[in-house]
Amino acid sequence: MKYLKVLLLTMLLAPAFSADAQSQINAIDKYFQQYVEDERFTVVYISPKLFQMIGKLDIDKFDSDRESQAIMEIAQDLQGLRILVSEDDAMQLYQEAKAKINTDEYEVLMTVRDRDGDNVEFLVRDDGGDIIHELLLLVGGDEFVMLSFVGALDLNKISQLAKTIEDDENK
Amino acid sequence: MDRKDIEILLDRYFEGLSTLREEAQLRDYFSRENVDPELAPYQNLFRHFQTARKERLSEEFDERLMQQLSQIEPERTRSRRLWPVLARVAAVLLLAVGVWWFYPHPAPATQQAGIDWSKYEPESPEEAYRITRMALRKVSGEIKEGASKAAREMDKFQEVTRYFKN
Amino acid sequence: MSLKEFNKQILPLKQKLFRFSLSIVRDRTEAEDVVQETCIKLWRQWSRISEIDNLEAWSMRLAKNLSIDKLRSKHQRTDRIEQAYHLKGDSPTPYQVTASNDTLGHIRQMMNQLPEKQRLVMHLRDIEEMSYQEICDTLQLPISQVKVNLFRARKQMRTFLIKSESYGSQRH
Repeated sequence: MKYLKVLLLTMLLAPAFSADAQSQINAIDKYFQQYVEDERFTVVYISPKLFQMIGKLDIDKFDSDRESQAIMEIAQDLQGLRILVSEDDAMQLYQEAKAKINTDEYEVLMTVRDRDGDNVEFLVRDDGGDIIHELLLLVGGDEFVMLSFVGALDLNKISQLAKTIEDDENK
Repeated sequence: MDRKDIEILLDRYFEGLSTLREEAQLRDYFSRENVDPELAPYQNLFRHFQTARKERLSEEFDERLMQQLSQIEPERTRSRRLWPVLARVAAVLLLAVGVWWFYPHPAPATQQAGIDWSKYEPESPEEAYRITRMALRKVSGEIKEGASKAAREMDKFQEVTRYFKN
Repeated sequence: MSLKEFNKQILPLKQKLFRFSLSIVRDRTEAEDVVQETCIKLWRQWSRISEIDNLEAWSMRLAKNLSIDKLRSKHQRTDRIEQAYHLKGDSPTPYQVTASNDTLGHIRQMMNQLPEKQRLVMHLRDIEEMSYQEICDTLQLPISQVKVNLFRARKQMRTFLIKSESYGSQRH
């Protein structure tokens, strides 16, 4: 526990004066430190700057209107997106990731076993209000996925998005 | 186009500096009958490109293929896998997965200030948008599914949320 | 997603895939097999394809890998057969046989002498008329490598051409 606190403190202090200090705090950092040189992982990162650029894109280039609008709505609240994927040792990595997440900071929103048999867990980090600072998605099944959205997220917007997808599928 | 112009284009071509349009002009020129004899050595080259472009599958190919395909069922959608998309994205990212530059394994006591995530960024905002869209679809898809399951198992769900809310 | 829909989507691709595979395996029958296998694999995964933004690059890559595998296994087979029957030398494939009959065939042979990466880049640029970015996506190479390989390929072809021309004029 003490180690984690020190780590958190280090991460908080180090970029303290940079503009995207807030986007530095995420669950994946702590988990991924040990795996930086591990070839099993595919890693993607969308930075605050990229989210700004996304906000300026002409979305008519992309597909369905309502869905892209919903996505843009959410994107403007985002400061960081980190994705880790591994097809190897999925379940082991999943269990390990779950164990490493500090349940003092992260609240389990939902645990699901989806229709493909994957174990899915949603976690959020917030300060008790309606806005979520970090949304974490963990998937363990045929592949291991760890998805971290950092920013000022509104879960309502995400369920709006779910609705547009559903409506499109039913067309 | 006279010989001088073509020679200029040829130089650009062999320097790897020609545009697609210029290359089309070269192919055009060399497909003619009256090519300048000085430039004759290059005629076969550009004519070959034209000919090779015309290569076609045999006539029976389509039939054979249809026969095969009609006997196969496409895979039902499994959970929207992030992997194939990310594999493609990672490839496009000029980063070979596995080419890490530096970060020695930090000893637990002396942590560095965090990972340099900038290595893993996509090249364009369009790519970033697509990735974000994919990730959000995944999240909202799973939430939808969880919610619908929960609607079916209302009691269990309430129990779970009650347990985790402080 | 019906077979008809699928057909419509891959229709423009089939010929391109064929020519690309041909440049690697240099045998029409084998190239057709590759295209067939590629289409079958595509069809099998059709439900996932909406997630693949660049269908063309994806299927070209698949065709490339299948072609290389075919070539590799063919060499292995040929080696084994040659070993079994104490045959020597490379018996020409049907593709090469027809090629030697036409004067343009020797350009093909020149290209076949190029290192693989150079040949593929040249094929995609000069025959398929792809942009650098498209070539990057298809071959999964950074643009710097695409440019270098194209440059070297063309330079080498120039050398071949000048050499063969000088032989030609000597014979006359």
